[in-house]
Amino acid sequence: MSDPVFVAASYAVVLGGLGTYSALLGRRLRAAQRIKRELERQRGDGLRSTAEIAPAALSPEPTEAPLSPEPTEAPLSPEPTEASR
Amino acid sequence: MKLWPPGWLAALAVGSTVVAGLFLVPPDAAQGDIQRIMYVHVPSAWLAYLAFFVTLVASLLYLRRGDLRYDRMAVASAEIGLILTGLAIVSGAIWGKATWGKWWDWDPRLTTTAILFVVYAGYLLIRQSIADRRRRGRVGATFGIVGFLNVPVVHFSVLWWRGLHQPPTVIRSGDPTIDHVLLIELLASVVSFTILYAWLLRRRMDLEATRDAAALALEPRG
Repeated sequence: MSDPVFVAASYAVVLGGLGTYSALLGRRLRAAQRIKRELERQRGDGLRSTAEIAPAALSPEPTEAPLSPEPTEAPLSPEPTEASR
Repeated sequence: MKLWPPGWLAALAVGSTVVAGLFLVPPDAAQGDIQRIMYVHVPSAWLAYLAFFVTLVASLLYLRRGDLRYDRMAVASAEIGLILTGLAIVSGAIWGKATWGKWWDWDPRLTTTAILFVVYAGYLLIRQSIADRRRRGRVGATFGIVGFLNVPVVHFSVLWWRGLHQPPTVIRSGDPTIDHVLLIELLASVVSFTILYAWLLRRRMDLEATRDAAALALEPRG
């Protein structure tokens, strides 16, 4: 092999290696960000669904609900009565 | 943090010094064009040293302060250092084939560099085998500190033992034994590789932080 071939080979190895590593790093970073978002979303969904089933198990606030009667007394939606007239 | 260089700057810096190293700088009087390998081989090796030094400092800071940011910096720098060591070994093998007539020799510099590669590959493997985050950090930090002991051995191996590899031409007592034009291009290459290293380090630390955040999202709240 001639000198230019050796020089080209070594530059290709170093620059190609660093370029490949940069690209792989970008892919790993995007994949990790996607997994993190998904886990955080699932965790948020999980907390919401658990709160619907057993709110008392998650926080003490619902047991104090009688102190604030608004949620039970306030009509959720007045439209049905409006519509029935 | 604003100090981290953007990717385009790293690409521009490396691209400029590569063009200069290949086409603008005159060939070496003794080795001719083959000496141009130095502009990618030497920066790879020096930046590997720097990367492992950063791992050492970050490991010490992690053990002292327990802040996971230092552990992320340590592992990120070790991984980049491992890549750079591998590239230095391969580009050195190509240079060796052109000048010594063989790809590999159990020369002290080559052998200690190969050991350095294995040590930091082990560092990354050991970390992967430990599930507990804090324990992984502590074991990794210990390994990162002990592993650095090999770096001065690699550097001084060409002075302590006889071998095929040439002795230091820049980092040595007395003036560098290299022509000034070639030295300027070499130092420019080192600067451009340093910018690239800083950019890679930032991205690799981001990856580690994202993984930590994902692991945190898996843990039960309480």
